[in-house]
Amino acid sequence: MGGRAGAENGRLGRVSVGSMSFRDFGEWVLLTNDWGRWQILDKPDFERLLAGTVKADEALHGVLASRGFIPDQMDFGDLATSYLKQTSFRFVSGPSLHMVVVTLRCNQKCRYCHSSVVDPSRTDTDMDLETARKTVDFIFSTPNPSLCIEFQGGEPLLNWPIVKFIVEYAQAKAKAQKRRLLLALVNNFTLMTDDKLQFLIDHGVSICTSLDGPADLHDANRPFFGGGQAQGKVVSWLRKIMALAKTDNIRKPYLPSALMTTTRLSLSRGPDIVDLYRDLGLDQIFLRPLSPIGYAKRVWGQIGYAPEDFLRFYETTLDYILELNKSGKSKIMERNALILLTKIVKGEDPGFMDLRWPAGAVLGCLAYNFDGRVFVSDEGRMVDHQGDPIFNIGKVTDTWEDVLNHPTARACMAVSNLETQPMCSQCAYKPWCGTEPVFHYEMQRSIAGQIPTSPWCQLHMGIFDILLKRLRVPETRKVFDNWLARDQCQWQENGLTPAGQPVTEAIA
Amino acid sequence: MPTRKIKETKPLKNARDVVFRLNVRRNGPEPILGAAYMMMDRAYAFISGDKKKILTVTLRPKGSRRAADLAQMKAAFENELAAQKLRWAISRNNLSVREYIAENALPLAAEFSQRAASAAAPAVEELTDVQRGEIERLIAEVESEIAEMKHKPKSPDTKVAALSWEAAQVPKTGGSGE
Repeated sequence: MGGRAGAENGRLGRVSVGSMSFRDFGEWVLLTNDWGRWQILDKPDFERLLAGTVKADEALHGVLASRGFIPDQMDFGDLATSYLKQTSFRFVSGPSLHMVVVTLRCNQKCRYCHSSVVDPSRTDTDMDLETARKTVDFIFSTPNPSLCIEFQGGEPLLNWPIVKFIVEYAQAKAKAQKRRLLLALVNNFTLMTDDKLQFLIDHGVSICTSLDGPADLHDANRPFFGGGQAQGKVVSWLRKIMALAKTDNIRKPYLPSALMTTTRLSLSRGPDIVDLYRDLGLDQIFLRPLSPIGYAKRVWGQIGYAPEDFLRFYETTLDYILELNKSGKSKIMERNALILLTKIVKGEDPGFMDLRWPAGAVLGCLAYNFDGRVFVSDEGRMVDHQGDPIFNIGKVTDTWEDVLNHPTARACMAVSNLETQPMCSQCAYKPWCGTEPVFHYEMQRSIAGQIPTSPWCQLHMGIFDILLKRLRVPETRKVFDNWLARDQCQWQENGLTPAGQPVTEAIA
Repeated sequence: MPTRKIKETKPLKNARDVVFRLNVRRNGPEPILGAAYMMMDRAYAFISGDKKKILTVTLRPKGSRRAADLAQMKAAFENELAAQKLRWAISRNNLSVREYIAENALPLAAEFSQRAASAAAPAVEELTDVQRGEIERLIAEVESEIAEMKHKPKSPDTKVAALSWEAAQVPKTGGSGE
């Protein structure tokens, strides 16, 4: 964690330094505090801060004081407000994100499939109507005033009647209870039709798909069941919906988004992937690492990689995107960077479940299996599909209180408190980071994890490092600020659709 | 803090371990434990002794045990111990401030929660007759669609559909007849 800064200082006992964590980058040091304030100092200035020789009339003193690093000049009210803004998710009861798996069936057999799907003939893994109704009833029994229901699979379009039912039933309940409701469908587009698209648009369901890159790469990662090419369908539907979205304001807020998953095959293809997203007119690309969970764990030897391999890919691809922005060739944004910059620069919570503490599992999100069983997260459900039900915390016929008080739910909350992790509690990235019990269970057989050897930590610390280094460069900072001004990172609880209304009604 | 050299005893049983005997009063128990924990990416750390007086930290490298590597590990531990002492000192010095700000944030949080709740206050569910009728109609419609879906022929090629990913990837063998 960058211990050299401390090793060079032996005068702390005689001075008073404000609450801070630090990370030593060699010539400069990052300081952060619990309240989400941060400052980068050149090493000599850091040493002077520790030695107590930064004078009160220096500009640096004022900067440090305004950010809560000078103990006798702290604005407690301001820092408390900043703390609250940064961690607002801790003060809203109940999960906001509800992932509903309407079927395990899928017509694709992706090499890394998290969802651990079954073949299209297995209709016994479809959610039935009664379970769908009870699932929605359970979701509406949880206390968060704003809810987001995300359809997952399998391929949700294979159980289309249930998707339609949940959309309409949930919207009716949201109206009756006067609650905000967001709806999102994650699908592979290969089964999309004009009728289904119209229904989704009419009901304000946002659409997200997977696009791993050019055809050869995408089809190698995500072939049809039994083999075959899928990328062409994804691209043609994306083009169609993007064109539709330009025709009127109703569709505009629901521009489709795409996610890419990085496999070993992707590592040398960063610019190709970015260029495809640009060509399609997508305003963001999310350079997502592969998680060794569920099915991906079984094939990790073929498609996985070390954290440092992903970080090299991330850094070079991010630099390519930044160059496109600087040269004016494109305004495309990278979503990992946006999520973290929302935390670092804006001091706000972007509503991203993977990086928060206590973990997003249970307190931020829940996953519902087709059979009505409830899991701490979708990753927890995938572990169950591999034969280990440890993350099952109830069923939709239970009460919210039962689920919240389930021993596994409580354990996940307790171990993901970074204040209880010996390394995380001191880390400069603590205010912006988080941990994931399911990931560590899968990787290290411990929901708490062993952080010094954790790939999760290596990966996220690496991404933070890459961003912090670029935040120091004025030209890059300008691009980042521009991204944040166009920010699409909506808080889950600040969704676009009010009180369960279909978007057509809302706009009217 | 790091100006005082850490006294190293000679390796006890295994010449390829790095062993430190550390004064707990001088270093503090938390920095010693913290520094040992931080070395776990490169070594197994064993701690023994009296946690109020002297602790012995034995680092057993996970990788190379050449002399140069052991020297590097020793330096890394000393460096980490110094950093841990600084981090713990800062933490202890500011404990009351952190508590005070958290206390100040709690009333604000209560206000925030109330605002969030009132912005979209969940009301007691009161479906109107029209809504109830609509839901009944919806249920009937979905039941009929599901029934229709189930009567459709299953996957066109169940043999292919039942294959695992690995099996599906095996290249087809045998002549094409050409």
